[in-house]
Amino acid sequence: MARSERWTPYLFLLPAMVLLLFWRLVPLAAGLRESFYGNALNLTTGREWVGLDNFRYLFDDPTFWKSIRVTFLFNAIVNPLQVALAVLLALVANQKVRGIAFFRTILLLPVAISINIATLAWGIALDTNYGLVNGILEAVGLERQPFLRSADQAMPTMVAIVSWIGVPFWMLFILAGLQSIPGDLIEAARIDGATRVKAFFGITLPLLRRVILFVLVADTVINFTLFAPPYLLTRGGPSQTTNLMMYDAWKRGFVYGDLGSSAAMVTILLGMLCLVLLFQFAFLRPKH
Amino acid sequence: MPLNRTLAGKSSRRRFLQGAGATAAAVAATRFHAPAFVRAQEKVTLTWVSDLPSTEDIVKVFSEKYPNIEVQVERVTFREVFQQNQTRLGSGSDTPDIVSVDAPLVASYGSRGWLSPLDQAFTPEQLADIVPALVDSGKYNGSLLAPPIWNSSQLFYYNLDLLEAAGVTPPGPEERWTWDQVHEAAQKVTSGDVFGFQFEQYNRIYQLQPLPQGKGAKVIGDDGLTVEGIINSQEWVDAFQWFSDIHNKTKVAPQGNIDINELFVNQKLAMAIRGPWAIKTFMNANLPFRWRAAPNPYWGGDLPVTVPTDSWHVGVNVNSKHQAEAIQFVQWITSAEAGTFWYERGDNWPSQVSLLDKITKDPANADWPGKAYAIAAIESGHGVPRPLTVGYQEYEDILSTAFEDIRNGSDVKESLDNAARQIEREMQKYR
Repeated sequence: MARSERWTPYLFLLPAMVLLLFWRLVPLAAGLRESFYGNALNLTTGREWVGLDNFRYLFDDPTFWKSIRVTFLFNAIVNPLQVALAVLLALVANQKVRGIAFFRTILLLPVAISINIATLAWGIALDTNYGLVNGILEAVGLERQPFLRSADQAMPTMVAIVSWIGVPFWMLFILAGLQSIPGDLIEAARIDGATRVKAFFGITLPLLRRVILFVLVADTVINFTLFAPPYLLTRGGPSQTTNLMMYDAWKRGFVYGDLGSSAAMVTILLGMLCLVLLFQFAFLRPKH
Repeated sequence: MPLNRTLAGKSSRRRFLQGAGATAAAVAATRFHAPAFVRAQEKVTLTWVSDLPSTEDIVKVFSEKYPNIEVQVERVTFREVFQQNQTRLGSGSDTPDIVSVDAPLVASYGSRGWLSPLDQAFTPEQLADIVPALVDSGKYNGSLLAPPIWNSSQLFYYNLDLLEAAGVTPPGPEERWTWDQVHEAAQKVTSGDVFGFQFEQYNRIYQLQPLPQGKGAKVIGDDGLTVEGIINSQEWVDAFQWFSDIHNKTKVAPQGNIDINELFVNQKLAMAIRGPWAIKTFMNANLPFRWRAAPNPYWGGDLPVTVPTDSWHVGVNVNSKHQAEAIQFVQWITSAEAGTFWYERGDNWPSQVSLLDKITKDPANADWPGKAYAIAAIESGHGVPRPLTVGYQEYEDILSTAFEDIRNGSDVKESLDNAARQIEREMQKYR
């Protein structure tokens, strides 16, 4: 290979690498640096080096620990649930029956709505007094539910809202994966006597493993750093039951003006996220 | 608490005073030379971040008087005002030139060195026309940083038709109901999707402050930082047990994110605590029912009467490149002329003594609906500003969460204990 040819791929990669550097790595480094400083917004003192004080401050804060518990619980539920529902929906949308195009369009509609608008619309629909959902519940003789206003129901309600938005999006990837599996393989298995379920678990699912891993990793990144629903709907409540780490970090930085602990919290969040992703890669990477 | 956080607080105060002195001298110098300086200048554009109604109109009035200064309003939502201030002023940006400051945040902004001192910009005569408590609210460490543009008072509004239909005899224009009377009447009116009572700002200390204060309790320690043993005292627990009961026990107050104006004008809410800004709204809405107002409720007997007050102030960004023009704008926007403009629009409650006096004596306010203005003016006399603390943003946000939890049925004592613990933690950085 000529010397100039060896560098050609890097030349093509250069624009993406430059963008990645300035839009991802530099802010990441700036955030990490900020976590070792205090008084960032104080013009009279100026930014001051505080070493690990911001991290010590957080470790000593019960709200921080509760926020970690809430973030892990939320992700332990929402990520597997979204992937499972996305697979199920993709299987349905992959059926070659009359009118399936219309069904796929309906399924995909939530993807076209911004997460902020969808979140606000669900917030209105789930309102305790005047919401559509409670109106329907009452009309069919059921009791009104507090949904986002109850410490017991807020987290499951938020999981449902986030999944309503996320599942159709992830379904697209699974559907693409499903359509790339040669029909002959399934057909051969069925001729050999495999049931639909057996063919799914024995052939379809193993072949989808790579796509599912991508969806799970991307979904985990999005949900670990989720911000809009707690910001727009619950402000982290009731009783901090939806106080996800990203929202808590935002509040510390932009409401309390403590950019140092906010940056420290995001640093910890990113560290935890990396560990979770490493775990996912280690256990779910296709073996072939 | 890490040591360097503590030292930072002390050092910041000393450096702030040094900086304040230097800036005050600079401002004084620009003030005396301002008219000639301004005339010689080309047109200057100032920026102002605000969520207030009619700001675009009032800055036009200013520009007609001062053609060399244009004020561009950056309109944002209420919550965004604080976030914009936090990020832009904290990063040392030279915009916005004019800073909207919620009264209790003056100390917080002052401690961070975000505002130019304005002591030399106002004559004693000008300051004498501003409600004294509001002038105090605009100061930090004795220096005037942000004079008031607005003021507030609170009234107890009710739908006379709904109360009469429920067999409730409403309070007269000078009759002060107790909170228990409000609760009792609300139970009689509540039916189906019609609720009895609610505060307009149902999760903010601003309107809820009279509940504990009316029982003789403090809202913050004398050092402006301590809350343990204060916001979770027995008086607070008793006051907010009443607040919990109206939401969770008798359910006369609606839960969730609600718009009090919408509910009241659509006859879904019979009684509400709101500011005088509601008067013009009701008058303009041509409501199909009779509404009245009465003094803010209290706990009865010899217990104190306290009414929420204070509102928006304005300051000058210490890094603004147009200090002289920005100060000129602040001088005008805090004047009785600007106050009259806003009052006549029905948007605000004035901070000028002369204007309040005029409203009380105005013959047009002798009967309904104008009578509500006269009641609001009298209620201003019972006004108690929100706590002056450098950590007001944290204090308010954490308490709002606690109030929301109590509305949703959480245990009152537990919610207030948690809030006290969290606020104490946040306040450590200012000690």
